[in-house]
Amino acid sequence: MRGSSDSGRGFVLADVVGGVLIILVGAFFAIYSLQYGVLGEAGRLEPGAMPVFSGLALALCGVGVVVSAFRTGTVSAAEDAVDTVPGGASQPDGSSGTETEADAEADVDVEVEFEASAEPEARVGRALVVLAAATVATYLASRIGFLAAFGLMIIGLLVGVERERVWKALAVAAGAMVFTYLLFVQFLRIPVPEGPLPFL
Amino acid sequence: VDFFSNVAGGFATAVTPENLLLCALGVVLGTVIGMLPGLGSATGVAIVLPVTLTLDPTGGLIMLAGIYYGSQYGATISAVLIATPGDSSSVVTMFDGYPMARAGKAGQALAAGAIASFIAGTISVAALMAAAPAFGAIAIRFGAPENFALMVLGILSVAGFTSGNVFKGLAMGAFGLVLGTIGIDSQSGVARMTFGEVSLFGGVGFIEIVIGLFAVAEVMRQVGRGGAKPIHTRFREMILSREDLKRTVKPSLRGGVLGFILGVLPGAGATLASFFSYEVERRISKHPEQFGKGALEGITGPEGANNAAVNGSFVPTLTLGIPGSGTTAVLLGAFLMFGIQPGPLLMVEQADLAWGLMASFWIGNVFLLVLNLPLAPAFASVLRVPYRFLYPLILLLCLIGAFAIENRMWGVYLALLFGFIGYFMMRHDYPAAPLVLAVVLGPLMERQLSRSMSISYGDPMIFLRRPISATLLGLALVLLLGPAISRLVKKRFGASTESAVDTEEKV
Repeated sequence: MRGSSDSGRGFVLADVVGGVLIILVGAFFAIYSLQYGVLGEAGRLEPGAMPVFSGLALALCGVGVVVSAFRTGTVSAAEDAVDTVPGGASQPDGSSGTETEADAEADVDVEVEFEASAEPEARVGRALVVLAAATVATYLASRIGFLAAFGLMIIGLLVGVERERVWKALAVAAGAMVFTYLLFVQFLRIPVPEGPLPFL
Repeated sequence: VDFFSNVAGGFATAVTPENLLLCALGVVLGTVIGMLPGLGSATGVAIVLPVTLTLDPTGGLIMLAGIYYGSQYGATISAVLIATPGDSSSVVTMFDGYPMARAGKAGQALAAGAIASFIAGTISVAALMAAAPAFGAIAIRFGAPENFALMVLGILSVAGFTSGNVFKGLAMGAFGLVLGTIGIDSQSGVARMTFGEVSLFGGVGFIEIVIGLFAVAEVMRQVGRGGAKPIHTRFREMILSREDLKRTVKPSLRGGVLGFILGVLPGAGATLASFFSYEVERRISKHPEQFGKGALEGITGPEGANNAAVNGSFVPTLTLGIPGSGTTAVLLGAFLMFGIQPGPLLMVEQADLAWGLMASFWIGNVFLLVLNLPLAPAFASVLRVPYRFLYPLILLLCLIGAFAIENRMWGVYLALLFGFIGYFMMRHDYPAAPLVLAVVLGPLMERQLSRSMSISYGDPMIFLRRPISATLLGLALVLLLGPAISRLVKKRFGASTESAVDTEEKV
């Protein structure tokens, strides 16, 4: 996401926002931790020392991120990085590897036959839906049972997000629940929250 | 004599039926995990870590380490067959592996990669066994200032190498340090940054952070992406000719040596090693034009290098307690969760565990060779399962792992929160490795800093007055500023060369 500053030079808006967020988090930690004390007698470190130092370091790095976002030729794989396989195979949308790897990367083009991929914006939406589904399932787990809640999550994701047929989603969810029950509940004795239904 | 008896003792520990089984399980799981796009070694270790906490520490760590180097083999399979490496260290393998697969030579590519990994794995395990005690003997003389400087070096070097923008890497390191301070301070008993929330008294769980940043975020990143259609291969295609074997051995030996050296350096790691090895092979080849079109040396060199780098990265992890990569940071966290402190004393106080673990690396490599040569096509069948069916299951595994740490839903919520943070970190090129490393090292750093300041009566110059800590801090600075300075020099040099050429042309 690129924007333009008043002077007309380009800047990476996402990096400016990220940098400011980092400054705020760092400053908050540093200021809040002052209450624990920083330096005691004979140079002894008080409990607040490390959070204050690291909070200040974080805020300073945030300043660095903001400044570098304004510099011409800022190196930022930015949003394209998300569309990259860990390091570089070109995806259908034409993105490439992160700069660190690209630095060392030889000029090699690999022609790959890909299946259809969603648009980058749509992928962000889908990713957030997946996270929301997992959060709802986590909330429901202590009410209707861990396995039931996550079984529902699988069905919801496959039918709602991936547009799979219901019977396929049911089969995958059932398989996953049986596997989880046998491995984690029976074999590893992990006491997952149970619901009103037996085994769920 | 001590060395050989230690090695023998290590093998005796590693070959107990239980440890052999765990090693085999680890490498098989690692192969599958490494093969699945987006599920790298760090994610694999993070997901399985909670389950291993019920095991004996030696067995648990053998299994986790097996996942680490097993995933390097698995990543090769997906790099060759679907041009989507499961781990960044196998990106280079794709350059020649995928063209070979398209030319109907997928079997040869996989077989050569497995043999190269084994050869390099073998020499690097030997090097690890030789280097670890030497490193330990030096590090045992370190006091608090040196240990602190060493940890600074570890974090800065990883932060400097893992992102295109050094400030982002450093910010993530600092963020990890900040997160590491949350909870009850072990020295004073003061609850810091907990806001009265009892769940935060124990701190922000390290495994939950790792599961969130590496696994949940990666699942989110992969959702909606079309994968490449896998290329089929069969067992009979995996037989190498004598000529192919010849082209495998020398590059893997070169890759092994290079990979081990780069693996020992904090921050460099397997990915850099594989790229370096590729360049070396290309430069010394009589047919550099074949690289990128299916040159066997383009697979065997980097495969050897990334496997050796994994073993090399255990040198600083085991002997200094300074992990050199994201995965070794997760493994360091595993050591701490088992109540074991890696560092110079590990080789003395936990000799059975340390030598047993190192011996298991070689045994694991044997397992991987035996499994991969005939079974790579069978493993590859997993790639035919569409990712849309896999990711809900991966998510379930991640979250049940997060629950299993303390058997409460708090861990699951934390993992989801860090999944959200990690997703946006990935989108905007903020590296996760320095954050994880700093979360692990933060509390240890705080202790060393506190001791150093007590020794010096609050004078921070102690770090510069002691030669070793001053050298380490200087090295950290060089590693941090080195790439920027080199870019600047290149820019200036390039500009002056260009202007000289222009002038000449005009004349």
